[in-house]
Amino acid sequence: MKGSIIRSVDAMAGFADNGQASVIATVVTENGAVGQAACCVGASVGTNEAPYLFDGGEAMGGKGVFKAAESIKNILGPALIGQDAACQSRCDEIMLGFDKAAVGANAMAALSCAVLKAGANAMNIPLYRHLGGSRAFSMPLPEYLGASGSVRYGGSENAGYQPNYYFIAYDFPSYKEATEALWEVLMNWEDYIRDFLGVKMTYTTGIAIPKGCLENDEQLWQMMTRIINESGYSGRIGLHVDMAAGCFYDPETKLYNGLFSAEPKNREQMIELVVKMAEEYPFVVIEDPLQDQDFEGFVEITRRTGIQILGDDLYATDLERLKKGIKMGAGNAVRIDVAHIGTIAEAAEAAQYAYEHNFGLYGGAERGEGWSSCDYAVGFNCAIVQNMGLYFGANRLLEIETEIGERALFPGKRGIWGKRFQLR
Amino acid sequence: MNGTFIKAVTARQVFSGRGHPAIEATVITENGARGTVQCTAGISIGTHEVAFAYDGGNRWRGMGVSRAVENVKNIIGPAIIGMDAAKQAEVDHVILNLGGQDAKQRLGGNAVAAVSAAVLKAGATALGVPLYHHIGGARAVTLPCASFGCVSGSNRYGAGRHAGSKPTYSFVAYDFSSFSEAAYALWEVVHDWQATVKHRFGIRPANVSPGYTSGGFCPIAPGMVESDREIWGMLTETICRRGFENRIGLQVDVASDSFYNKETGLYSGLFERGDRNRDEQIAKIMEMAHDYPFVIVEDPLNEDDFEGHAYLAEHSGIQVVGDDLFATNPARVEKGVTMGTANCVLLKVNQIGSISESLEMIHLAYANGYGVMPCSSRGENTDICDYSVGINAGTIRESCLGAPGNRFLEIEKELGPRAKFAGISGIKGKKFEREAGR
Repeated sequence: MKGSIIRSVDAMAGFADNGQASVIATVVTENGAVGQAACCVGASVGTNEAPYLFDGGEAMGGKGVFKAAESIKNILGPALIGQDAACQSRCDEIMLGFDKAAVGANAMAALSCAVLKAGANAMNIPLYRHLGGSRAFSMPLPEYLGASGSVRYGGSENAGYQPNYYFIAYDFPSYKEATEALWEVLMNWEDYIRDFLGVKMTYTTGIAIPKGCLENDEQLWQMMTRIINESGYSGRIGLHVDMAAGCFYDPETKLYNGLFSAEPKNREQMIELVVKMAEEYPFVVIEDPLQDQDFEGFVEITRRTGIQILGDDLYATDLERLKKGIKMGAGNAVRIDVAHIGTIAEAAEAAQYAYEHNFGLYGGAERGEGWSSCDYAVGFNCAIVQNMGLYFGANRLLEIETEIGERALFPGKRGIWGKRFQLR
Repeated sequence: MNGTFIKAVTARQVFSGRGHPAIEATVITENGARGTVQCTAGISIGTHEVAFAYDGGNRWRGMGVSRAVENVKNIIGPAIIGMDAAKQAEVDHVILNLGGQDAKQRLGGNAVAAVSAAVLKAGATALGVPLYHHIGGARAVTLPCASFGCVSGSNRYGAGRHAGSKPTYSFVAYDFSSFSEAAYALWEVVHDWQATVKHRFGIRPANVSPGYTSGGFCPIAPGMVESDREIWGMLTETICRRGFENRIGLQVDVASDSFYNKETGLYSGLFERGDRNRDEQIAKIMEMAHDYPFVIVEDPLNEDDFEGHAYLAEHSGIQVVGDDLFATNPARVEKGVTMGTANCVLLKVNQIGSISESLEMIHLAYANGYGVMPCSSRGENTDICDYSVGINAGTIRESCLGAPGNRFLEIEKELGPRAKFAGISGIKGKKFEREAGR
């Protein structure tokens, strides 16, 4: 019997790094290879995402995942036993034969990723190569979270900890050099924040600016710009903001509340503000600047800014939405996240479509998969991967860069979509 | 040839769990098993030992470890290739005596610790047994009381000279029938707490990194509260609101040395504005143990106050842990044991150097009725869970949700009915001895 045939599937209800409950799937093949993967709910959840299965009730705020674990153990798992873990598309096809809402997209995503990992391990090849084949030789740009939000200006209870600000290193010859420069900036930023707030926060634990410390986020943009310049990396390290604007949007009044400042803003004011950010501050990537039904607004921002306008909640890794957006020119890059859609096969399909239509690919990383996101990003040839620029993600990417060797391709500033950074 | 024999040893510089440079060593055995471990030196820059642990200079703020990496590749590695990775003591003995007795000083404590722990992990994988089993054998069945961070400190009230982010507070779930039951209850309380803090102060908890085990600490900044007593009240209310009174308690790492002035003998800016002398500090800790649900207190007094720590162990009734007090140093533990100083030793596995030295130190503590509380601040990451079960630790420092929580759940499942939850009897202190019927 072929060693990569799936022998057993198991699941448990565990915890995710973001503090949420997480369903964890484990796949074991005939030759003893193990693949384990997790899926949890994100910090902000877009309205277009595939449906997750939760326990409901009182325990764990209704967001427990014992039911999702059961659906892996009793429904999806049994259907995969005897299949070849190395044949991802066949396994995903079988899973997609079930009703996604009934079994849970979270259960499906965890199991699909676990199959991928078990397949790679059974064949004894790295995960990124199993996903991307010999084409998986490009490194993503490193970025790391420098500041996250909270209910800083009131207005929205759904905002999680958005907006999130990342420092992103782009004009460097290799991932390794980019990451060292990025580390210097984050160290200087930590020092600055300690003096500013009187409390020590490190990039590893997250830097969150509490209520009452800022009048508006523009002060923060000035502070971050200053640190980049003083560190000597102006024009080589920039900023990425995930605005998750949909979380601040009130469909009744059509206003954005508590985003960047206490004043509510209408659509036109938001667009002008985003254009200003791209012109006056070193923002090179702006993610979800408007609520996730405003395709036209994304088109206008993309046209007027010249930087990377990234659709996360806008697209939710969904192929049909992506086709519509690409046709219109809504943004110029898409976030690829298996957890948003359900299976590796569907994520790969969206990634391939974007790739063929000159849309940038951004590897998502928050739904419980930890630094495996690095392998997914390299496997999909993502030009940027979320928050893997330092720390354990960087440890994995440095390993991959060494493994690929001299032919490892680092995109440099071409890794940023948007006409300001591209040849054409 | 035996599959567990060491075939190759490599090393590189990586980011540690604290985000600084660390050394990572990988040991590979003949049957292809790998053990990879990182170690971040716990030794502060400026001491004699450091010259070999850190590169100095401008790059990486002087904390680069390329020399330690070279020492692993060129000296330590070649000396242990061909040895049996399953025989930890033999390998450690060779490493600790490379070129004479002060090998750790010459090669770097971080280089030695990383290789020693990588040998342990490679040995376990080569044998095909879980790490906790390789450490503790068939005896390794205890899951610790479940804990998770909730508040970190700072120079909140002025005068904390090197306060860093101390004191740190955690929730500890102890009166439950299994680890998973305790961990899920802990999750409820932690989430309630995080929502409370978010609404009141607009702050978020520290992330739980996939590679670092502590997290959840909410950084309460200067000016947000009048004194820490306010925080203790809020924490207690959260526990009670969730219905876990006397089942979930509090743990604090006071790190009192950061607030202690050796000249004046006063503790300043600790828990509140102003100074306290030694007796007042002892009274404050007694108050915490009696009026609030504290069950574990760490480094409540300055590191040389053996008598004071003995008094607290005798009279507070709760678990008194020595970290700076014992400094993972066997001589200091021996002195403490003779005097009845504290009742539990904090264990940073990679701090002492080799795995064998850590195990000897644990043996010394256990042989004298002391507890051992593992803490993953030296690069142990989620392996800390295996260390904890491997030594049957009753308590662990704030590592029971997120990635380490998952590892504990996995171990619990693997042990099945044999799994034992430490519960009340896992906590040292007279109060818990009575409750556990010891």
